[in-house]
Amino acid sequence: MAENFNKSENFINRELSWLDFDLRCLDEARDNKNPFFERLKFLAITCSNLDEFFMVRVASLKSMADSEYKKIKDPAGFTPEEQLRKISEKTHHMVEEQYSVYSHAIVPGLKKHGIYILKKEELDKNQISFLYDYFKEEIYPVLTPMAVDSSRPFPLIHNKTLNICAFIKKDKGEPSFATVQVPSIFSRIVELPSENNIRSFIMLEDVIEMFISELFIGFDVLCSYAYRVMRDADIPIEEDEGDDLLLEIEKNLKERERSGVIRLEVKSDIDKNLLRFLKKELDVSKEDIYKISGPIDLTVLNKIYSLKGFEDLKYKPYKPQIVPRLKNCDDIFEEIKRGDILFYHPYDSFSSIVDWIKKSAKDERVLAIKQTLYRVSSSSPIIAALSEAAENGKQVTVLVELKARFDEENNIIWARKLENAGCHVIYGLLGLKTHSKITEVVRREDDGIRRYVHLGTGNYNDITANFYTDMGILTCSKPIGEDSGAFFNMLSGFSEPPRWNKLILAPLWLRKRTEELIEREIYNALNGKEARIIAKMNSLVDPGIISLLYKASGAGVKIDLIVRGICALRAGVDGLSENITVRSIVGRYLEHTRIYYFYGGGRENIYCASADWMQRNLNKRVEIMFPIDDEKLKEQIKGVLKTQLEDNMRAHIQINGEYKKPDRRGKLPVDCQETAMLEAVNRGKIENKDDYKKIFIPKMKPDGDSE
Amino acid sequence: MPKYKIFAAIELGATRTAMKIAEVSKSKIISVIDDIKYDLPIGKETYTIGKISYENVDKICSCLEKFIRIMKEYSVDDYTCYATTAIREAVNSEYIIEQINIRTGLKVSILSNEEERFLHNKAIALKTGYFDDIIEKSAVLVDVSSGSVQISYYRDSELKFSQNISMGSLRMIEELSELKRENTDFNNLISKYIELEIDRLKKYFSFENKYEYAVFFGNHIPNIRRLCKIKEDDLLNYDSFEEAYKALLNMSFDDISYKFGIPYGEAEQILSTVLIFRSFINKKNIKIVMPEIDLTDGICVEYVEKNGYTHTKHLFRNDILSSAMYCAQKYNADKEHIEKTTEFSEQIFKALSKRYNLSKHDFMLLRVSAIFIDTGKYISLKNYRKYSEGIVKASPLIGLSKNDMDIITEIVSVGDTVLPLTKRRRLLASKLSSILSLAKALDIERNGKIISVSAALKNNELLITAQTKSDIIFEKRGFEEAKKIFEDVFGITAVLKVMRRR
Repeated sequence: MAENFNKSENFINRELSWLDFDLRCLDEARDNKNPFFERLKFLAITCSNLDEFFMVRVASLKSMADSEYKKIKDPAGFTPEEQLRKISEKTHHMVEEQYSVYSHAIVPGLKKHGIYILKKEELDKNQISFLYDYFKEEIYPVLTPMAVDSSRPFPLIHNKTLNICAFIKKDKGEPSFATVQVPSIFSRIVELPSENNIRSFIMLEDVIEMFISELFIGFDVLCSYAYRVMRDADIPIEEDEGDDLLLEIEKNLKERERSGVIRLEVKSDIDKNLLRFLKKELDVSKEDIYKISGPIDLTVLNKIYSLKGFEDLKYKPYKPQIVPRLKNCDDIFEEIKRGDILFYHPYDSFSSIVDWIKKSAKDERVLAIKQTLYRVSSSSPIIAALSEAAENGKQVTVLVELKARFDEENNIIWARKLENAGCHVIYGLLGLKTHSKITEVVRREDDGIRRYVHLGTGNYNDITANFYTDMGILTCSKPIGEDSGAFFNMLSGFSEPPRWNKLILAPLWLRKRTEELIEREIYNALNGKEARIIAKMNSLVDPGIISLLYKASGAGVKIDLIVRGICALRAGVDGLSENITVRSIVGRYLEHTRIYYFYGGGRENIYCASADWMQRNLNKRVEIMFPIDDEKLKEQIKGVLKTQLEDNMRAHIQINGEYKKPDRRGKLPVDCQETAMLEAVNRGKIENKDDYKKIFIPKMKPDGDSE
Repeated sequence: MPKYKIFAAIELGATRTAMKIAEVSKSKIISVIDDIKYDLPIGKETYTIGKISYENVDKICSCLEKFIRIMKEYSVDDYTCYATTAIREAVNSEYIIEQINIRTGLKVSILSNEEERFLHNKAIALKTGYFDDIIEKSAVLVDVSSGSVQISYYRDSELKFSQNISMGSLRMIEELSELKRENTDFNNLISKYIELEIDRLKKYFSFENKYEYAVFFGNHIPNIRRLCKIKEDDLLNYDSFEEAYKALLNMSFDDISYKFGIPYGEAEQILSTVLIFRSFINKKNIKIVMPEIDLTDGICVEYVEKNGYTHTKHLFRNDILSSAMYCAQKYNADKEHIEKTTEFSEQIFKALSKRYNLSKHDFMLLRVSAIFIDTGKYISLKNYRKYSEGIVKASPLIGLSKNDMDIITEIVSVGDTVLPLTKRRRLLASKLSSILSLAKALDIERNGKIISVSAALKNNELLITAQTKSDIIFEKRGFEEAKKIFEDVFGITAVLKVMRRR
């Protein structure tokens, strides 16, 4: 049966699916079963997600709509114009929902716990006087008000900065426009003097507004309101073979500062004329204006989250565990030789990986360290270790992906720092983003050169590793070592090796291999054999893979997809995907692990990868999928997948595009993240490091024991 | 301390620059730990304009700089860097070698075609675990490059001959390209052309149907294996080769190019390579091996040999001598006399080697010279050394460098060549020549009157003791004649002491 699975009705628009993920986060902010402060965090996440969505996705659609691609439809059958319309409807609705949660759940909840976010009119004399002093002494000196008139054009308003606009007037003259940026060097929330164990705060922009007339002496300030603009961050980087990528990206970052405005947020009660002026000067259309009934930019809630003294309103602290085999381990290299080590972060501590790199930097036998870096933390211990290694005379090769969105500036700084320390730095590859996560340590040992390799699903970022779930292995398997060597050779511009032993690379082979693995399940199902796929990823968008999954469903392959974010596949549709389930897990930790399981007629192939099933991962990025061969580790991963599929606390089940929480009636509650934490702690208690020792230890009769 | 060395084998080839990093030890012999290739088609320039441009030299240097970084990553103990045909044939080869040395510090040596092919054969021995077995029976090794084919024939563990034919996969297509338009069946045309060339060779060397194994290798093997789905270490038989060949014939060049991502030009060469291979499949019960090897494998083997390790029973240096003998015998070379001369030379050589810094390799050159020195007599007894010189120059002597050939030619031709020998090399040729003359004098009658010889160096006298049962008047006379030159060259006297046996 040659069925056409490519019909537009079979796909969910990826943008709307992104927004659905935001709505699921918003659900968590609403959910009073979550600790109260965690709900603040979820609400803040919905805001930062939406910011990113506008800067990247909306911006890209807008440029498509204005270009020769305006008639090209997405797999769901919408033109860019149509998508923008639907997005606008949905985001306006979402913003209303966000502020409804803010006003009806968060603010009252904060009050209940003694935290007051006060408005100007709610302040007492004492507080006003305190704020006046604070304004005059601290804030005022750094403010730069800018007026607009015939001799002074409209200034550049920076992306994502909070600003205050005002109409000012001198004597009997015409009102003129003025704007001032709310400085980011101060805390967005200003704590006020309060009594009776109450903690009161006011937004920084409100403080500036209160005393704004101080900025325009001799003028009357007719009105003032906060606003924020968002600009296009999707400006393509022009990559030419001869160009210096570093300079090109620096140029691009500058361009981004001046790119078009794609969203304007204003206070809901803004003066009509002021808004009209802003709209004209910033060149935004009506549907790109968002009227906000509350503080603009809810990421401010993160500041409240970090207030000390409210620990009982947060998740119970969890200490990432050192994997049992590395506890009290004197020599990590010897331990790796005993067998591959699996890490499931953040349940297993990422510090083991950092320590391994640090140790390698000092180890006399280590000759070289090679690593790919995509996103690193602001004071990365990994960077420090790599620099130290270079200073210790090791050969250090680092691929720093300069094109990692929103981390470009950070990565340029790291790249230069590494270079100064004597590392060999590769600034990414022409036309491709290097998204793979791999580290290789070359060591000269008594019996030969040995390569130690770490492969992971997440970035080498010690900070995000505390709240992103990811998996990784440490291995010294020769076939993987050979592949790793060949991979880094390829990154240096050398030819592809004639064959790869274990690693499957995008954009060369990953799509083909994934399709083959799905086809094999289809073949088995059609031949009456058991066939099953479990795939866990961040996003599922690739139309080719989705069509193949529909085909597999039709053939009788049982498919369970755990897709945290965007999912363009419609699950559970009769005649299309009745054998496919989709669930999204939104919880304490951001689900970031990519695991692909194929029953394989009983052979059970399990892979971990840096890639999602998205076109960008499969076609335009250098990604690595790696097999898990050790039976013990396979069992552990199967256990993780099983718990994720059983979860009825954090999971949202998608049926034909609609997400719902599962019906828990009559079922024991299962929270996969709680379970993973518990299991990691228990593993430390139960698992014996000696399991991996290839010797028998005879139990001796204790002294004095009469038996 | 690790009981192994890390070695880097570097090849500056016509189409690519490659490096292999290997651990070399007595136990593992060779264990490859990295294999790096960089496509750099410098050969095009050499073959079209005769020289390599600055731009390409720059690219070679950039690539080698990256190699050096990788060598540091493995803390490489030793390296060998060889340039092959593209640089060898470029008119500016000397400049290129110097520029590379100045920029990268790497010392590059240029390999002759014979040395290059010899290293290929050594690589085959490394990659096929049963090399000793197949050469003990009989095997033909067919090495197809874009410009020529090297055919080596082994029997009874000896290399019988190794011959180069100017009929490479690319050269052939170019030569026949004019006929392409007038022939619908181009494959058939190529087949006939190959048949013509190979038949000539088979007849000349009379080895048709005399081999059980055929070992096929060369540039296109990886792609041929991919196209014909041949797994590693597969021993093919006649039927499976024919099947693979037919599968290939059923694919158009477009198909090959599109489906396998191989450039169109290369697709044509793949077919002509397979056709060359096919012309060596002579019987139904033949066993075929198609290993993936490259020069860097051979360079590793060479290094291993230098360190005194072997991975085969077979000693490759004997290949040079056995194939030399096979050639010389076509000119009625007197094997017994050659063996006797070699035996006597060896004694004299050993006595002198330490003081005069003579190497094993130098002795091998002397032995090859001993084999060819009288071959000219086949043509004329008058001025025969002139003809011997011609024969040695024309003989396909695998494994020898241009320098080696120059020295042998110099010895064989009584030092009257017009070769551009350096002083050092001319001196070496003189030394070897004078040793050979002494040894030849001691078997001047070619009847083995002198049973054995021993030699000892004492102060300024080389005392040669000859054991004999009969009168050796002519030998003594010949010795007196030969020792004049010997004394001039070495600055010591040679004394012959005769011990009569009953």
